[in-house]
Amino acid sequence: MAEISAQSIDEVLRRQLDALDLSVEAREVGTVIQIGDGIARIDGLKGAMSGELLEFIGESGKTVYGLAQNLEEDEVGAVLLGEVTAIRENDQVRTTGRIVEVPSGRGFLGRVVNPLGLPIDGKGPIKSEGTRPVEFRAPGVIERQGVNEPVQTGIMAIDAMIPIGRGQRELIIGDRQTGKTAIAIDAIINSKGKDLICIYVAIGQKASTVATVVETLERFGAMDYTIVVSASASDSAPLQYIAPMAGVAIGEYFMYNGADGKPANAENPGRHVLCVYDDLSKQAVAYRQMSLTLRRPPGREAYPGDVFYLHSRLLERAVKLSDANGAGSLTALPVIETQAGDVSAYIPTNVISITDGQIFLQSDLFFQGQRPAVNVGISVSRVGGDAQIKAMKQVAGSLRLDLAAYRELQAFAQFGSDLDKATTDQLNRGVRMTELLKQGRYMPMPVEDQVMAIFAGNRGFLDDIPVEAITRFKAELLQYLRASRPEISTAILAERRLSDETSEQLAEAITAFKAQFSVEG
Amino acid sequence: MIYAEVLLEAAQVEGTAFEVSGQLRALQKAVRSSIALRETLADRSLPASTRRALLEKVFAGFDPALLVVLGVMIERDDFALLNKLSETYELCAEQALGAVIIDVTTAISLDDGLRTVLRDRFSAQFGCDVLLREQIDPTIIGGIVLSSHGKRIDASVASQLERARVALTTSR
Amino acid sequence: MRKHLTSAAGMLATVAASLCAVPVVAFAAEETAEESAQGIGLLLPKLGEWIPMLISFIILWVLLAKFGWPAFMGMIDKRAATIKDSLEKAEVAKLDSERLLAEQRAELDDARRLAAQIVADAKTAAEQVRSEIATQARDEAQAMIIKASKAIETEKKAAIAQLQGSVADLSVAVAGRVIGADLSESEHRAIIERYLIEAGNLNAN
Repeated sequence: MAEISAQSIDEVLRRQLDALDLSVEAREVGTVIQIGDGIARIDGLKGAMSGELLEFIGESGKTVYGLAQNLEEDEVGAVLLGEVTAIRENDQVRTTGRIVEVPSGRGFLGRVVNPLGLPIDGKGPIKSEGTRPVEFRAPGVIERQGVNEPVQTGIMAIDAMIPIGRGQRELIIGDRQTGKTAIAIDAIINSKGKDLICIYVAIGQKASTVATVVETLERFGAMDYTIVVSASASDSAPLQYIAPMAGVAIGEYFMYNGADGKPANAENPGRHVLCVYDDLSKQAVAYRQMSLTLRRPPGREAYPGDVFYLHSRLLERAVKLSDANGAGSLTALPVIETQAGDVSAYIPTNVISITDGQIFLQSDLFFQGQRPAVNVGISVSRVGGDAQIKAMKQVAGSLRLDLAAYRELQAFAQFGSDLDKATTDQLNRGVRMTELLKQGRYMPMPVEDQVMAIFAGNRGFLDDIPVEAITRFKAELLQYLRASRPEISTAILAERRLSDETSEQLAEAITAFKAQFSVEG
Repeated sequence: MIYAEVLLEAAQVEGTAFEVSGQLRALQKAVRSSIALRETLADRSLPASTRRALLEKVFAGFDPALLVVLGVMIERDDFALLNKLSETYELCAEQALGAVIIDVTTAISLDDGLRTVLRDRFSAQFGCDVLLREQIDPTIIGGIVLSSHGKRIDASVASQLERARVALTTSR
Repeated sequence: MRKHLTSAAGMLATVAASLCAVPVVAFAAEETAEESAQGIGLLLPKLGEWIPMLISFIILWVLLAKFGWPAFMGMIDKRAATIKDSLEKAEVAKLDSERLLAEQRAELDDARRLAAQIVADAKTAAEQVRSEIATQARDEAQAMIIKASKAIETEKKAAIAQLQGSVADLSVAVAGRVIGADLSESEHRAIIERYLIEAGNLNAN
């Protein structure tokens, strides 16, 4: 417990005063020619580098940081990363010789920070363990290895059919109000106790929305391993622009360093990080605003020409490192909001082509009550299958087929009145499987539960249960299995596959449960 | 750049090449800090003669050659090149004078002793003569601020205090 | 059957013989006891009647032995067989019902056991859920306490940092005022000279 006493404060101040460096060196200084819209044009600074951190010194001695962007013949265009109003024309600008860096470390867990790593949750200063550059070249092929561990989102529809691996980039795309953020938040909540550090980057959202997210995460105890980086809608465009990079940089610290804070290697494993960028379309809009005010030529949809590079640079930093580099991983879950389901707009196509797969959310499914509103037909995961546990692969294979056949028949079934038995059975199975995949918000399921639930569906145990009772059946079945037959889930977890013996036990247990299950409830 | 060359030639005839550089700097600063002035001087909807008259009125005590050159620039819609003019002029003037211009800001006026110290020190560094453009600014409290060619040495008491304040408030 | 018939015929013969003998004996007794007992004499058949009676009886007997008995015996036999059959059937039915009863009893036992099992299961489940909830509540309470103390700690730290900041701000502001007001011309010059000695190269890159 820290004691508040005059003596301790005095001591701290003295110690800091001792460390004060009063040397007077010559530094390169420029002058602000013009300022407005968060953009400064600077005279001088011949030695400035692109992307370099600049220090603006306001009239009252207040320091505001900026980012050198346009290097022209006789001036530098820079964006301001803070209080824009504190800087005026004729103010001094200094180069720092650094590119923008954010502090990081375990002290950040549970905190809400701005893209410069400064706390905005009113919980006092954060002790950092080190800093990471905001712009960092992604590791090459040699430093990586294939994705081989799963990120369990706890959402059955995703973990079974669109599995995400650690080090993957999986896009969450959909219209507004389709539950994009909910999926990301569920994934964070479900990461509890799974040795995964989560970073939620909120870009251009309402501050109240961010507060709600933080509150939710806190309620589920997920803030203990989560860092929220927030550049809300009221922050300047440059802050929104660097927010995802700042988030990934904070995450990279954990991946590239072991638990002792030293660089990770074969003996000192790096940690696993999950980065959610919510959402990148807002970042692209902020970047467009920045570029247009910097007078860069506009391209398609008025976005600057390098917006693809911007996103690929960011998402390429998602990585599964090789064992020699500590085998850490950084998983990226970018979110893109589409307008009226239009995935062929500029930013969605860009990001779809960069990522390793996408989770499509559709508003019509959402309003039909299919939640999460994942369209499993067009959602894919290109690498996550390697990371699924074998038990899940065993049950999910036939689930995918069942649902595909169901979708195919569904269209026909609307015309035909007399269907043969096989078709009716298939339709029946499909309806129940779809019902089985429905899941409430903030109710992530552990993987063994998912396996058991899908197993029950695959083996036809649900075929004679009324559709409206499926959800209750699932819940009660899992509770029964957990309470009365814990050895089954233990076996699934231990063997990581569904052996014949376990499946037999499971089938028998489900039969036993069905005997006591009353449909009316 | 033609304007800078013309201005330097005219100033050299008058023998005010160094003073003009200082005035040019002051004028540049004034134009930058006042958006209204900047916008009005570059406003094409006003007749050039009006704008020229305005310029002459605002900067009344300045070197006539400087005001003439700027007047021409206004007429030719080249006033946006003011920054460039200032920079080029300074380089040309330094070349013509065979010296480096250093801006010196202090809280009190310099005396000859200090001037000598400064000249000696910096002519050794630059390997040529040094011209001091002096300025008095009480807000720096004490000490001295030197700048030349985009480089700056800030040895003012105010900035030292500021650094102390920053060091004390940012906990480590 | 034939044997039966013959034995039956023999038996009948004996009966007939005794019937013939009885009146004779009775006659003799009557004769000796009371000569004038005319009433009884009326009842007794006359010998003349007795012979044709015997003959007709014999004829009847023969006829009956020839045609009546076999039909009668057949009927009896049939009836015996039917009764035997019914008895056997009853036996089977009884066995059946006993078996069913046993089965049902077993089923009932099973059901009873299952019910008990379910109840026991439910009990353990409930117990488990209860303990789970209890642990969860305990954990939550613990976490809350930890969180609260953490919050207090951070609040305290924030307060310290703020205090420290305002102390620094204030002292620097005071220092600025004091220095600015107190410095004499010569002190100013001395400061400038000192700084100039420390100052770096303005022409450096």
